[in-house]
Amino acid sequence: MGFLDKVNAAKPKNKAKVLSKSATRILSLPRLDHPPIDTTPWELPNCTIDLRMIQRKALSAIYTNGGAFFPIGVGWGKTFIALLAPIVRGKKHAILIAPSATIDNLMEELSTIELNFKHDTTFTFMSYGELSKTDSSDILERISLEAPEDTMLICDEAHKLKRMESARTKRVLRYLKNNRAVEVVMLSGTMTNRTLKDYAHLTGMTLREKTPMPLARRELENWCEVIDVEGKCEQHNFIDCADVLKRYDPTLSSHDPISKRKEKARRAFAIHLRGALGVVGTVESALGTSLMIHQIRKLNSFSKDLKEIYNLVKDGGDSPDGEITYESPADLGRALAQISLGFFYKWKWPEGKIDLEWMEARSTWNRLVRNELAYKSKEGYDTEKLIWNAVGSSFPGGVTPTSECTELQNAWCAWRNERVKDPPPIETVWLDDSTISWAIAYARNQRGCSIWYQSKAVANRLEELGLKEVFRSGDKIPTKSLPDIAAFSVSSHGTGLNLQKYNTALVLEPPSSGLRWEQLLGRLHRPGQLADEVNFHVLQHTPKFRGSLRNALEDSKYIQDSTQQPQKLMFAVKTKREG
Amino acid sequence: MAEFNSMDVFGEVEKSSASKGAQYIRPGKHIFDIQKILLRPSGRDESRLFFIVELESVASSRTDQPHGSTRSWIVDMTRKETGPSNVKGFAMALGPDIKEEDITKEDLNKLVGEDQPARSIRVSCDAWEIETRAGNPFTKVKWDFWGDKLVPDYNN
Repeated sequence: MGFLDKVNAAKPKNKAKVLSKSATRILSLPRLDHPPIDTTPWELPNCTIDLRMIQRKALSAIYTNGGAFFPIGVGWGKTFIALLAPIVRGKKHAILIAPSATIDNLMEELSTIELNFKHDTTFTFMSYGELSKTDSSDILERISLEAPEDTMLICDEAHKLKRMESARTKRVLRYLKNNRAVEVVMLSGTMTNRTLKDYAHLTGMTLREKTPMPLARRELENWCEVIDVEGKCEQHNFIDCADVLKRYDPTLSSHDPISKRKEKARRAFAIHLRGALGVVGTVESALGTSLMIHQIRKLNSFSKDLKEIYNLVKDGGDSPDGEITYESPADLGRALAQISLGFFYKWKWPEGKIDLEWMEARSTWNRLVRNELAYKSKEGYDTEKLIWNAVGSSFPGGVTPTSECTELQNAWCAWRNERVKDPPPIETVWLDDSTISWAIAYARNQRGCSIWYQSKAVANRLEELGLKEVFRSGDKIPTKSLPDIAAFSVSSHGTGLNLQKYNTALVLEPPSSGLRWEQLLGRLHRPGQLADEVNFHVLQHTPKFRGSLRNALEDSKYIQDSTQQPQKLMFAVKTKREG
Repeated sequence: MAEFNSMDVFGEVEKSSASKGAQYIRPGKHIFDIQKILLRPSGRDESRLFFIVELESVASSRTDQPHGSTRSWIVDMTRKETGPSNVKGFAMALGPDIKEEDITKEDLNKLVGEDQPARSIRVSCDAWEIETRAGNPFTKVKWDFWGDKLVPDYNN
């Protein structure tokens, strides 16, 4: 009898194969392919809305389970699910949180719902921006009109809550902790970008003890190591998730080569997640409309001089005027993206004198605040302003730096002295705007085109060079009467809006996140698009822009593997072009 | 099914940025159920390899170690003079009649693998504090197989 035989014989009786507590919990959870709901009981006699299968399934999950988690692809009708969720569950009050750009649309669609369905639900709409404000620490408690058991919280575009350290996520979490009977529905076409941590807490909020994800942080870390884009996927990481994932793929083994075991683990996880009670997601992608991504690899408007400046900044790490050394790879990356379009930003110091004290105090305070928000955030202490107030009132005998002060208090003192100064204005320096001129001409040559930008400087230049319709953050988008050519902000208009009037887009500043791309492509490539083909032309003429797209493709592969949700960036046909 | 409630869910979610540090075995007499055995590099210094046993307390002479609490036993395998022999001592406690010569390298690899053959085995642990040559306190442990014997009430 060998060692392992003896070990096996020493186990408690009837426990030849013992699962960990966590695996036992997860594997004993009910699983259900939610059947489509019949909405007749809620329909008014003149109801003209014919819900899609995915919408009926999602409403069925809400009806059965209350809390629900919907990774439903972009454009599949999440708005109706969000609005009907409290109605089918018979809730008196619904708090619906969504990006500010989509609130008007949600309110309009509520009128449509009211013409077709009977209900007694009162809706309160709130934007994520509002939830994040300094004075919104207890906003959810304040707007709760009904008892928790009569209230439903619905978070549309729930990926806006993916950062655990953000004030808004912590506020939602606190509200739910204090109001446990509130049922929660989370919807997003892009729940995750690179890691399970993007939504493990969201499944916890919606499905509570029925979450199919591990509850213990350390276990979640190991699941992430096995499944995430940057996970190491080592043997010891496998221990915590092997029992669960092998249920869906018995061939999964930590002895497989890393890429293979990661791919298998992701697929197994996707099956596991999507079969959980209260989870409904889309797996279809076919719209009958092709999606093309044309990578503009060579751009004649990108001059030799600009290329030289780009390379100097890339190699030296200094701004084109030599005034600033970029402190982090992220800062340098941003600068390279700007130079790719012909500009950069600089501080405009009065009389050219750089205020080093101001820069140092600001940088130290910001670094320490980031740390406080990440590790010590709580009600009344979850924004920069609240931390400022709290530290300011923490000095025992008047506000003076002493040897007993903490690093945070010292930073507060230093920044208090400096922040009274007006910050130097930021100035845009255009080295060459030929690419922006080229973009306008290129768009005019198409039959209707949406131009996508990320920087304010680009929006301003597009306008200065004659583009009439440049929509900025906060602008109301006339989705029913869109101009033939218009520029949109990726961050403000890249989610939630229906822009299917366009079938052509020009992306001037390509995002580096797969999640953001999925949303962006879904503005045009969505159910209801009438064109046979949607074309995205993407600037790819510098290594920085190519790197962004490469990074996004890596994200998309992870999302597709781990959620089984086909990603537009993955299935789009890609071509290379000159511009 | 293990006992979980929404309090746990939120508790775990909220704790997300808390310290990941383990609670080590403290001096005393303990009975543990083995939860997990793994081999992993140190988070701070990848050249150091740790043999880690995660344990759930069944009984303890310590009042600060309630039933169900978890403890970790960590062996630095890069310390050749103590690491391997400590692990061997532990492995011999995984059954009633395991001898030194039974234990092979291949077996130990399986012990830390994804199938976790030793999960749920009940062991006893006597732990006491000694002073290292450098003068630092160190908790020494002695492992024994416990199996299905009656669990003592150490505090009475």
